[in-house]
Amino acid sequence: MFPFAINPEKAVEELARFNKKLTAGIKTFTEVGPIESGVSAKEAVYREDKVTLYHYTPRTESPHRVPVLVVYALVNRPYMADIQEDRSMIRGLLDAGLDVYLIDWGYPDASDRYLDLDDYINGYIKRCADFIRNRHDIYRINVLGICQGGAFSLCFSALHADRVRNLVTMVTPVDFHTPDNLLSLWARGLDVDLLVDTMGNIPGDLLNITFLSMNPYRLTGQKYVDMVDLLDDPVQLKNFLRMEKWIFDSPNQAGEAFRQFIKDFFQKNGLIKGTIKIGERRVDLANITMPVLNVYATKDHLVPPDASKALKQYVGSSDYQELPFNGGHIGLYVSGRSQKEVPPAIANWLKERG
Amino acid sequence: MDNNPFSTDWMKGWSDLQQKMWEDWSDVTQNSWAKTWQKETPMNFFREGMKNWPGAGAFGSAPQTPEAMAMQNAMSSMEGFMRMGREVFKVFQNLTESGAASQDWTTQLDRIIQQTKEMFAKSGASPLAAMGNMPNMGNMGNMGDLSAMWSTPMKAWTDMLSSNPMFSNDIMRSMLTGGQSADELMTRFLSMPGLGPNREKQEKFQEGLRLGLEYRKHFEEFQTLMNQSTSRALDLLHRKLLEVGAEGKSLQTLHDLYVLWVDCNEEANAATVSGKEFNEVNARMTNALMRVRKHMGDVVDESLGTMNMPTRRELDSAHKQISLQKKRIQALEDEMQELRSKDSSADINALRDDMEKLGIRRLREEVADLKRQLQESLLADPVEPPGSLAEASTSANKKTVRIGVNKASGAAVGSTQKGD
Repeated sequence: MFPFAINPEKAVEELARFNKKLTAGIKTFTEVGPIESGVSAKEAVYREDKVTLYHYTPRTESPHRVPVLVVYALVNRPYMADIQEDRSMIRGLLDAGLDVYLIDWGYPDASDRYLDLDDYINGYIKRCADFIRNRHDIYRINVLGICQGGAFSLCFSALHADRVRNLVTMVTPVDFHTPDNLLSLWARGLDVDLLVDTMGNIPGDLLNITFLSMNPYRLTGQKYVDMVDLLDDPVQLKNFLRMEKWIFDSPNQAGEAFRQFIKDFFQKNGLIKGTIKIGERRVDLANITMPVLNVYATKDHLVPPDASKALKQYVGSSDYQELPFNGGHIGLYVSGRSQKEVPPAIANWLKERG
Repeated sequence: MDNNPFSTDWMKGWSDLQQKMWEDWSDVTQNSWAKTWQKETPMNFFREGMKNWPGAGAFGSAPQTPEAMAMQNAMSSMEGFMRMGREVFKVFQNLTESGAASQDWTTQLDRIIQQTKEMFAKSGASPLAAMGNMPNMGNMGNMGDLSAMWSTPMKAWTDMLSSNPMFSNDIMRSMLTGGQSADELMTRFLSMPGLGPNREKQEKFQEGLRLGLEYRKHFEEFQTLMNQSTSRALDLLHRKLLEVGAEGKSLQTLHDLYVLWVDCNEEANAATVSGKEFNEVNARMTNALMRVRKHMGDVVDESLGTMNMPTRRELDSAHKQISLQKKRIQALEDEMQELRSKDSSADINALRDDMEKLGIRRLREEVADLKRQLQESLLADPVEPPGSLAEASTSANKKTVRIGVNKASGAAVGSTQKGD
């Protein structure tokens, strides 16, 4: 049988409908207005260089006494965790009674070219953690690391175990050499020294292209063709554009930190080999003796589940638990189902551990 | 318009209509949305923006808002989809005219797939030609309209690549598209030895060209791999269409066909990019690109230096020094903080313990004995020595000898202090 039932009338009708939607869509576009994101109320409580520590306004009368510090990746912006009212992991944590802080790394420029991982982990993260400890008059806080921020949180917890009560890692790469880790495969042949020495800071656009090239035709083609169906719905269009804004809102990466991260983590797989040195100290995952909750996404194409689950073998904690989410790397934060499943589970796990 | 839906007249009318609708829409967007949303961006938003932005060069591209970038991608994809619709229509028209739709459609499909594969294979000889509308690259005109259909999903991707400052430098683009005659010229130029006072400049220029050619070679390898991937995607599409036909099913819309084609491309691409060969080729290409850019940066730096303008090297050096100073200051602040917050009561207690161990009471008694002996000897001998020992003896009543421990040496030390 001829595999096409696309007769001329139908084809013309389809394309005319497509055009009509596009034309009508212009009205929706003009009415959409500015794309705001980062919806939960928050206050900047500490600043240093381009880093800002935010404290989210609690949404329960007496939030849990141990605050949570969210450590996001350097790649992309942290408002993904609070992207819109009905799609906000932060809001979910607040509603579940947690007191939440978040580090916003800002947009590094040429003056930040020589920031290294020591500056980020033993510097910014440590000082943000100390600020919260002093503010709440407690010795140890809870830390929640996301993706690359999760890897940073692991290093921080291993180096400063006395400051961390409980550790939550989300879609965090630990074993960078699992066979399905495409980013790692691509990174291994790169001359990172040449790249950083040439580019200085690594442009966010370059990272965008790298991420998009994992599904280039779907992410740069089909997605926009399908967007036409959203054009008559301002709310859906705004949600779409909000995600678009986040995807392309990619800060440049401080050159030295990028060099170190690609070489030590991606190329040498140093986190599980115990060869990474941050400042003068070696990161040994066995030093992570506090309770650990490892959240991963079963359909994660950026950080494959096996890359995250490897943590179990190396961590020193006797209280290690995993929380798999049936979805992708971004879906873990923005899908409707994750809102119901993930933040409450994290909050309960933290509360159970005091 | 002819009643036969696949007639040329009808097709032309339909095509003109599509074109007009598209242009009208683009005009609307340029005149209204661009004004309302992009007031501060001095670029002609959609089409002109899409043409001009990538050409801005590697050294001074204006930043683009995420919304504008998203819309640029969206417009590129939508335009591609509509173009695909037109080309698919032409294919069906040909099939209908040849009677293939009702007869031997599989043979016709084989032929179309084969022709398209050949087209991609040819484009492999001319790097980037298959990559769509990259500026100054022929705009795929040599591949015929049919190529537009198959390259539709790729177009948005290649537009995005071409708009990246890393890939869009005009010099590098000219290196990539020089052609065979340009290659010969370059080879001859590169073989020329450096002469005279401009020897160094000539050698640097030659080195730049050498690096450019090396990059071109690796880019061609990369492009060949990508073309092979597209060829595999065509095979996949062929197979899947045959399967659809064999199952007695059919694709209902152009969108269905588009999605199937995207799926095939993604599947073929995933197989390619997860392979060892791709990783090696991709790394070689990127590293070669970096070498070219590094060389270009060095040359620019040198020129800036001769004009007494700040160079990248100098700025980096300054930033490095600032960074080191910041680290030092931070270390000092940490140390001060540590000292401030340190609980000194433990040290005081330790000192008291040390004093107890030294038997301070016994020492005090010994000192008192010594004082008594001294006073007695002074009384026995009334001649005062120079330096007024009498004064010392009276003030000794007000002072007490304190015994401490020198932490460094561990030896007992004595001092006098007012009161006790």
